[in-house]
Amino acid sequence: MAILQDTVTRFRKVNPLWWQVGLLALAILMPLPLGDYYRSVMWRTVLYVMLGLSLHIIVGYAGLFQLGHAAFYGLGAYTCALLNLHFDVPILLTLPFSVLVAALFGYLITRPILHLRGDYLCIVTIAFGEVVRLALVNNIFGITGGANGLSGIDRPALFGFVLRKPIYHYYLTLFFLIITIFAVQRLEHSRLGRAWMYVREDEVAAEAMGIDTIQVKLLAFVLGSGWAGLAGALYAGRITVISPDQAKFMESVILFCVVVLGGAGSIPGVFVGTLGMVTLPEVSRFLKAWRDAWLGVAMVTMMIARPEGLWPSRRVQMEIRGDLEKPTPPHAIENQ
Amino acid sequence: MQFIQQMINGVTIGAFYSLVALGYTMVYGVLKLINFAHGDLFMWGAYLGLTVINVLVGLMAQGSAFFIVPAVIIVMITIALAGVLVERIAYRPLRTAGRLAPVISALGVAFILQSLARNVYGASYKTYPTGITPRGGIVIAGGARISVMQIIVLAVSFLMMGALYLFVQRTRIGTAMRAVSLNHDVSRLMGIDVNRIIAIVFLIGPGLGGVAGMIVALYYGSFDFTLGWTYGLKAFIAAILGGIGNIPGAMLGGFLLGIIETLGAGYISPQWKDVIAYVILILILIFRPTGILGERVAEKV
Amino acid sequence: MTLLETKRLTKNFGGLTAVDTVSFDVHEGDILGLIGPNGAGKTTIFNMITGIYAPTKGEISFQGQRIAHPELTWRKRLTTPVWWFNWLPISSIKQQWDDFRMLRPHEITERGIARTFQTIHLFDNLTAQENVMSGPHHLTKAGVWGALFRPPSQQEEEKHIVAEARHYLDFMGLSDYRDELAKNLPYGHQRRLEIARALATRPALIILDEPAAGLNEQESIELMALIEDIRASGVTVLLIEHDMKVVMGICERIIVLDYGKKIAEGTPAEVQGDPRVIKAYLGEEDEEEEVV
Repeated sequence: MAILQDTVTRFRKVNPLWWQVGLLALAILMPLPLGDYYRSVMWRTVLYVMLGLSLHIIVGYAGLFQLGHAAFYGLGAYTCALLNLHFDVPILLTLPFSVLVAALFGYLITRPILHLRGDYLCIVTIAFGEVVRLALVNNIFGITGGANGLSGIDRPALFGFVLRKPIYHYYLTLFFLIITIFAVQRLEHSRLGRAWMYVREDEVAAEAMGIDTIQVKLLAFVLGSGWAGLAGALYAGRITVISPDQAKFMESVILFCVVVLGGAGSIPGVFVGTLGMVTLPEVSRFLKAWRDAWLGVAMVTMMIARPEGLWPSRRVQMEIRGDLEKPTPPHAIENQ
Repeated sequence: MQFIQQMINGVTIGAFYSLVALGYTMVYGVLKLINFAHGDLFMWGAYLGLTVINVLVGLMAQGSAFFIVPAVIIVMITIALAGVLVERIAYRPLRTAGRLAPVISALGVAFILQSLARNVYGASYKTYPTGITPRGGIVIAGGARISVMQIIVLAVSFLMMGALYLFVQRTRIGTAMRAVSLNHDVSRLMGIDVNRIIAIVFLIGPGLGGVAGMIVALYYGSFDFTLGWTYGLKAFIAAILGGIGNIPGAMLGGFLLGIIETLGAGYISPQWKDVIAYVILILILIFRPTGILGERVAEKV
Repeated sequence: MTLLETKRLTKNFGGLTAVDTVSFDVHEGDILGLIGPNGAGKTTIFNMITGIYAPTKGEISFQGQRIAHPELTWRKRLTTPVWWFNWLPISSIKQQWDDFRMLRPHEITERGIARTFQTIHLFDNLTAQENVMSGPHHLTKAGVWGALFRPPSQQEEEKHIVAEARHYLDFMGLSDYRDELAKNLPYGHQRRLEIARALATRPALIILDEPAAGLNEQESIELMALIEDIRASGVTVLLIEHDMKVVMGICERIIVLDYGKKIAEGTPAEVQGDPRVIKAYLGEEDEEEEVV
């Protein structure tokens, strides 16, 4: 453990810009020598990093335990599919709509529950996730195709060139991932990002400093949900078949683990989390069959050995040892 | 006539939910932890019961309803021990780690148990051998029918719940449990061995849950490894509905949920019955998070 | 000019009356002290001013506008037109609505009342400077767009926020600790940091809840000078304190509470001589009753 920690610290000292350039080069060049199967795995990895980042905004910044995040992923996918199947909208054009629909639902779902205490909030998000999934399964409004979902979705096309092979999808998703990373970093180091930090550190104090905590939390949810919708549309364009399984609880848990186990509050952490939770089970057949158990073992051991995750940000490392969530009742603090 | 039938069915299902909800509520009471793994222990009760009965059938070369009795006992003991083991390994190290870590650990255990079941028993539906489940029933008022199985379920459930209630209210250990659920430190000062009490809670809760699992499987005839998840969440909702941390609340919540769900499925639509349960949960948490009978532990500073 | 006014303020918690018909004024430029034995209701009054509790009876006005009043019954809500039409974007309706509804703590801060807490509520894992940067938050407006695209206006704003934070850190003598994590600061500095942070919201009135708690003699004297400086900079000060040296030293007017009731009001000399005050404090071994 100590050796790992030392290596980690040494890496951090290297100029972050070189790091990023190097990683980018790696990301661009790596799929070239590989076969289609591995390119597909890489695509999936990149997609899940994006999804992880979208949840990262909610969990890592605003500190809200969202365990129903996959619902927005699913909603984005379905929006894309429906627009494409019924109105022939090209995939790339459905992207903004997927974002909007997912963001809208994010707003509607979270607005009534923001005043809840941490673990209760968590439960409600699980419930909402399941309601969305069940609505999709039950073919609500007759359009969602029931438990089998929808199929026959187009592939995305750029200026007439249809992206069929996994490698093109990889680059497309990588492109969006880069934008996502850029956006998330910008958000982190901004007035809004600070507001999130204040709310996460001490909600009572933040409110006393004139920060509208409800609005700030809501923003985190809406942004994160919308982003998940984007990922959903990208998924639909590649796999061309979608089903309510995308919104199932297991997906939400995987995402949550990616963010939290990888290190809540850290962008590199999301990468590591995705590698462990998503990529590894894809490439290892053994892990695939025992995928749930692998997840479970990872969760339990991480919590016991190092509850702040594998690659946390400086801040979160200090927080989690004690009480990550400070439950604050809606009103009262001191009483004299 | 349909209404009474629905009520009978609802109460039966409610009994299952109650039994499982008790496990949730007791654990939450003493540890403030939502034991997500509980539903999967329940599921293992079903599988284990199946194995035991198959062994017995193999030994005796025929089936009989009486096999249920030894099977239930074996299941109850095994799952209870499994519960204690889970607590020791996955929860005790996290006693001081805040609220998030134990929840994640619990989820982890849930997944491990599910995956284990799927790999050991296979992903297809399993059924209990014929001749085990008692057949027949009696017709009561207005043409509604209550089956022998339902009578057994209700009888066993009420028995166990009654016993638990008396245990918690009248015995020293029960009082100790209630003390621990209020405050660990003060309980220790009073001379209560908190670890032992928690272990006992994990014996009783999962024990009841395991038995419930087996009976559910017998009642429905077939099941698969997702049984734990569906029932687990429903029972959890029932516990919240009645007031988490509150034992009579779990019982009340379970029966209420069972009835509402069955009536909903009967009169509205069977597809949406799960959604009804979730909607109830959401509404309760938004408007009255302490549940019907209120949370046992004081939340306000 | 009256800055803050409480009228017959009352707060019941279940069967316990924490605050009982307390009325007082705070005038602009005052340094007003609120004292009383533990449990007298002082922090509860502060919590009502800052929007954390709603009064059971009575009301509070700030700069002429009502900011706190009892919670509205559903009957009152349903029978008052402004409750139905509050969403209309008409300014006179908005004004009526603000008067009618419960204000949230952050809105109180926006109106110009800042506070510190009895138990320190700093952002522990952030640096001192980051802590104070939360002050100008409500005076600035960069949002998602500003964060993502960093237009010149946003960059100006960020510079301004940092400058403001540094200014207030300076003011409280904490410049050297700018980049220290708040939880690593010595206790006395943490108290000062909380005040700096509150000042950074640019309030008209600052409420200090036991700012001298845990401070030694030297630190208390420094605190008194700081409070004078705060008043000189144009901020009215209302404070709760148990340390009599501090209270009698800088407060110009003092209000004494006991069991939720106001039992005396006046200058330090007047209050010290008041028999009711002496009676209320008799038996408190720790408190110094003689003052400079």
